[in-house]
Amino acid sequence: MDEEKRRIRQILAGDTREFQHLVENYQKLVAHIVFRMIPNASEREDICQDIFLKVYQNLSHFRFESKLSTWIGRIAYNTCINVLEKKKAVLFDDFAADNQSILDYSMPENSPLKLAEKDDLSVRIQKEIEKIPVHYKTILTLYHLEEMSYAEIGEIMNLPEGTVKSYLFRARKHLRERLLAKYQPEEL
Amino acid sequence: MKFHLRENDIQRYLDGETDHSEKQGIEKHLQECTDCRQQVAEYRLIFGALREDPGYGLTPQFSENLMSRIEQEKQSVRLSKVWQNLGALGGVILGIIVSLYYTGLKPYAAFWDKLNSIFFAENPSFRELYNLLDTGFQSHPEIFGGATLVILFIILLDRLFTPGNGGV
Repeated sequence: MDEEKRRIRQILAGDTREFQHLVENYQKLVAHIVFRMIPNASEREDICQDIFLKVYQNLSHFRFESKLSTWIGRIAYNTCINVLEKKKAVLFDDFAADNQSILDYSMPENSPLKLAEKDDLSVRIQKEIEKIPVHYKTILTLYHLEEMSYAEIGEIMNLPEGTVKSYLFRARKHLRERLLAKYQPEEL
Repeated sequence: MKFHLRENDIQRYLDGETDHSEKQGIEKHLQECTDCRQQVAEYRLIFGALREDPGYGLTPQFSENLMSRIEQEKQSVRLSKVWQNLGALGGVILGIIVSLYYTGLKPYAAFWDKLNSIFFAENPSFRELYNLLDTGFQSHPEIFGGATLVILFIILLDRLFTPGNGGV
């Protein structure tokens, strides 16, 4: 934390080189959030830039009351939510409506995508994650990929810890159901 | 009657959130129940895949592009600060002149008369407002003049020294 404080002080004193180090340290976290939440691939890098620009402009307001990663994560999450709200994207959709797409989903067995899917469970899961509501896939990413605690995820997404736990449970349950609707258990 | 583990408990077990006795109970049940064992195996695979990096990557030039954008933003902010401060300074100078005029020092009386004739001659409501303020100024000119000077001084300090408000 002291090292982090020292670095932030250096950035605030005008050391842009130090800020570049900060960007390199946290760009993976920001990319994970943005790439999961924003469906349009051509927008993602610009949004990541906007997020780090906000971090730079607001760094003097960071009070060390939370981890820097959580603070940057919150900026990334809120920026993505604003982008999605402008596009009127569905944020807190329930899984119920989405279940229909499991039945409707059909792809030729010999399509390249299908063949690739058969090769790799991870690819199948990534594809299924893309189809679930944005809040659920963000929670899955922050918990499993970023290994954040419920409290940290709650802080980023402005949700109580209990809600984070409940959404995480529902997201994984739904993911399993989707996979089993398409594949036999032995195919997993 | 055969019972099965709840999915919630299976997930908590795989997250390592069950206490010692609960964990022992689940593991004992798993030794006997094929269905639950199958479910645990499926969740284990899903959890493993979720931990794998999906390979989201920014371009290698990302941080350099960002830094040059930040430099551009800084320059445009600097320029806009200069204009804002010049504007504030101009406003303060104008305010001081107006204050001096109404506190009794009327070095450019002819100029003010001319200005009044331009702004107030055609507009009755401006004229009424002017008359109202003028009555106040004439009865207590020092209060109005002093208050204006204090307010303008505070605005100038705020503009020049508050970070993020056009200040340095």
